[in-house]
Amino acid sequence: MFFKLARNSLLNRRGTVLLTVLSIAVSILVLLGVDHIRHEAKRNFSQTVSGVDLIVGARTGQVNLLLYSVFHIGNATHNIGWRSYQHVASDPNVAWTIPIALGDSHRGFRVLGTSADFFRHFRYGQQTALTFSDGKPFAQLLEVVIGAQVAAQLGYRVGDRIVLAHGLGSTSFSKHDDMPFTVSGILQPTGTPLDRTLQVSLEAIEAIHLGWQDGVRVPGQQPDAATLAQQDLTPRSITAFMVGLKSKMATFRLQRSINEYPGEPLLAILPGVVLTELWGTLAVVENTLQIVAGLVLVASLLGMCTMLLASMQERQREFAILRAIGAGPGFIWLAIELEILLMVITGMVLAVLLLGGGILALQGFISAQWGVFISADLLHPHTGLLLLSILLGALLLGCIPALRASLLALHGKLRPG
Amino acid sequence: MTQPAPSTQEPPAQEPSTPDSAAAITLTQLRFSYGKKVAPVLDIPHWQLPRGAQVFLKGASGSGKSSLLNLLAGILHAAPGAIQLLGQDPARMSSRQRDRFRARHVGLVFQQFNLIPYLSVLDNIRLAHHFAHAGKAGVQERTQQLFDALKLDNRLLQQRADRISVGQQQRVAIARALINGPEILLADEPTSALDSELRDRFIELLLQLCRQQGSTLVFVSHDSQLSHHFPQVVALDSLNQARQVHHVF
Repeated sequence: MFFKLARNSLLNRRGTVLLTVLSIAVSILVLLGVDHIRHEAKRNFSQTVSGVDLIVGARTGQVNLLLYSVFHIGNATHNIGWRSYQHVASDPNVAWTIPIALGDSHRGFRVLGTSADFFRHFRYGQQTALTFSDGKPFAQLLEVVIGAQVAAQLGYRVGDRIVLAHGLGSTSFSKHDDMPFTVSGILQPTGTPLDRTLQVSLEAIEAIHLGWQDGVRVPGQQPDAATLAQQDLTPRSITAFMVGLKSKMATFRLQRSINEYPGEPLLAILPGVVLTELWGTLAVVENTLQIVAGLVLVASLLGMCTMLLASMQERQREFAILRAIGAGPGFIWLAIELEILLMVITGMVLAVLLLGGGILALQGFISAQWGVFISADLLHPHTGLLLLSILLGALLLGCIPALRASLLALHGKLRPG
Repeated sequence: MTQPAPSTQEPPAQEPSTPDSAAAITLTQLRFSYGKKVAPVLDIPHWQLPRGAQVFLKGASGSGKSSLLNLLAGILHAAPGAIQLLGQDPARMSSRQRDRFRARHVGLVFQQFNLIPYLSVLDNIRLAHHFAHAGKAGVQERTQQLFDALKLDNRLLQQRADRISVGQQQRVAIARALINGPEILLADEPTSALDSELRDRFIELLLQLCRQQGSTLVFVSHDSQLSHHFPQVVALDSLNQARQVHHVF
């Protein structure tokens, strides 16, 4: 009966109530959205690479190197020489290296030139190794391994033939159409930017650029299959490389010696440390967003209070009737609080649904644009805590109109009209 | 003194028993003012109403009748000892007890807008029953009896309270006020929203039903044309010694 009273009372004022609920929903959406995306971004970034001790590239900003080498965000300004790579890789403390050559693409997806060590040593998430859902690593020169999302979006299967394009961007005019690749394997989904990349060997990257100068194909210089076989396809340069050490103890010593390498200006970074640094720089933005989201929420809860207070006058009659049939002031207080509870919970459900739906709808776009995978799973334990505190805050603020209603009923005349 | 008819829903034992000999309403040295420095709006040395009485209390607006009704309903509070309802003093009850007492023993019918507009007619009646804490049993049958007596169509029960005519609303208000079998029914100008033809029928139904239920009826109105329906007519001015202050809300 109590519930019916509150529900019908709200339905009776559905116009203002709907707007109030919407404003609450939007503000909770903003708050949860900011919180969720912040979390997801951190989770994503910290799970994309695991077990890598150092990342080495041409000298640039530390954050920049991390972003383009691991997350495929932005571009490298310089490459590093093959000789420098060889030098570091031959250090006795180095257990393994994964070379990375970026710069080509296929229909908007980045192509990653690497070696077979990539499939052997690369780890993501909680030290998870790469596995194939179909096929195997590239063995021939013109074979390619594709990420799960590439396969799903373009409908590729093992054995399909594809053409790579020079440069990034989904519509490139300079295609390497003289050398089509065959799909040799498809990776399992990893939830990292790898799902949206294609992997080929470094030699293949070298081969498709034979006869090219400054990013343009020189006419009449295309090698045929016979000359290709005789060519020395050792790469002259790569974009960056990841290093795994035999002992963590050597990390800082090796980092220093790389940074002081006389051959060319190199930069070695510890991914975890740089990631922390990145969060540090972003903390101001993060905090600002959270404060703004919090204020938006406070504003909409105050709006709800205002709406309820404004309705008190017209509802005086209603409270008088309730008092006349024996309702105590406490009952009226509780009835108002129940209305608030219903509105806030409806707003929350709406917010979660909208946010979940929005994330599901934009997931692909976000990961394509920024390489960040936002999961639609919104229910972290601390989200529950957040929602609970919003509810408590709303009920506390609701004491103002609720108290006013119960006092109105008490002091107001019984005779309505 | 008329013998009170046994209420169909006698309250459970926890309620302090109301001696049969007690009058429905006894006022002794009732003085009431809105604030210490304000002149009293009510000053009634003595007035007693036996159980089962049907009285027409005549008073113009500003004569203190709203205050008196609020006092009798236990919404406004008088000094202890000034008011006895069924032998009990609302001033000596806790606020919760007062609310409970009102739910069980006092029915109220206002001028207009007696029902919660967004609930169905049936839910309005159920709500009144709910506050009496008398258990779920019997509401349906009792509502049925009251509806029959008030010549109301059962199909109205499922309608929203603000979708039915004013005349119907006022009759539903009587059913709502009588659902818990109250010993006292306070009606405040219940016919002022009705046209003259409906008015007389309404009053006859009200009187008849109160007689059946054994409820004491206090019918307050300024319209002395209605007084001929009632066995007892009292002018509030004759009871109230307070100087006439026009206390208009």
